[in-house]
Amino acid sequence: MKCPTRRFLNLLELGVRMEQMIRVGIADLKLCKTPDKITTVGLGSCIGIVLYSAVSDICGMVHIMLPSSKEIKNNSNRAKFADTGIEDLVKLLEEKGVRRNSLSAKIAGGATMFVFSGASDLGSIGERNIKAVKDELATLSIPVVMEDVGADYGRTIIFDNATKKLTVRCAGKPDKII
Amino acid sequence: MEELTSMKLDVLREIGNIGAGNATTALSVMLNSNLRMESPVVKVLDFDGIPELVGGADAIVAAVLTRFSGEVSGMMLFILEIEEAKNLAGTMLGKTYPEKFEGFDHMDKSALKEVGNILMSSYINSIGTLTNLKFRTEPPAICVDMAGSVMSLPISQLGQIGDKALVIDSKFLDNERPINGFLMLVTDEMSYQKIFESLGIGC
Repeated sequence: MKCPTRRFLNLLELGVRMEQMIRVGIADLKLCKTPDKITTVGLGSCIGIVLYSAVSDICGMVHIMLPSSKEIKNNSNRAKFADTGIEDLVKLLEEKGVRRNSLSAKIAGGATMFVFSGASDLGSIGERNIKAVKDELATLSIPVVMEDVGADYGRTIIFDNATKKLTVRCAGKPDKII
Repeated sequence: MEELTSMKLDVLREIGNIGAGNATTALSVMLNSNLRMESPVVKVLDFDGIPELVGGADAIVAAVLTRFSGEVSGMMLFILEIEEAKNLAGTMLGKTYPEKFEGFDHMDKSALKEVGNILMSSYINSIGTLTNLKFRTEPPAICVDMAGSVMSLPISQLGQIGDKALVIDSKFLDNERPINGFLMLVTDEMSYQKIFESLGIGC
């Protein structure tokens, strides 16, 4: 009988690597190479944007929280904003040899978490994020293939570059795969 | 925000003390129980660190958010881990929740919102009394979801001015049992400046 630990060690020796889950934080962006998966947890009004290419094993995700870097003085963290965040992610992917015109996008988030009585400019930050993300992607001619945006609930997203599928996980709801 | 002197941190801690003290008294009366508060901790955190205070970005929490505006403006959050929220709503409404929890109904949410309202109003009012600054609070809103998601509104508010959050973390004890939740005060730099100035602390 073979000891399971032993077998695991053998696998390591053979250079078989366990697939990893790459975690993207708030106002953060990262790349991911198949078979790894990439995730961001607890999107509210923020938006998670996955950029991938049908012909590449490298994809990337950015977790933006504000629509525009131009409205704000303190904008050194470029991954925080829809405009600069997406721009930087595209640049990073291009550096890894992923062609811009092969990129597609899947996006999720942009919820309005708190509904206040009476109109409010703050509550609509999710809506403004959605618009800014779509505008930026349109400017870069990257098609939004799938989206799960708006509404009033949080989302955790996981992208599997092997299948190009985005899993959207919400509290108290079955997973949605887009 | 990074260059807070220890003096200023002390002031913030004291504001937290007075605010949370008043809030605890209000809540004790309402629930007819023996609530106590731990000395507040003032923390400067990265955005990713905030949801960690209540068990991580994917932990389900109940959060009540209230905004205030005037001479100083900002928002305040009362966040409870879901089991605590069930306890609290259960105590208030005299009910128990089934093993397989399906979410709060309108009444439950309304009760939690009221607790949050009382806590945060007394907290915010004590800042007003202390500083003599004028501002008013708006009616609160509630959200039950992943911690990371509910925090997105205050975090994006903070994100407009920087990459860190100043959190006054006030923990409560119910008959010596710690309640897994906290109060969080979010204001902008200008408001902090005004608070400090009104208390005679130059910059």
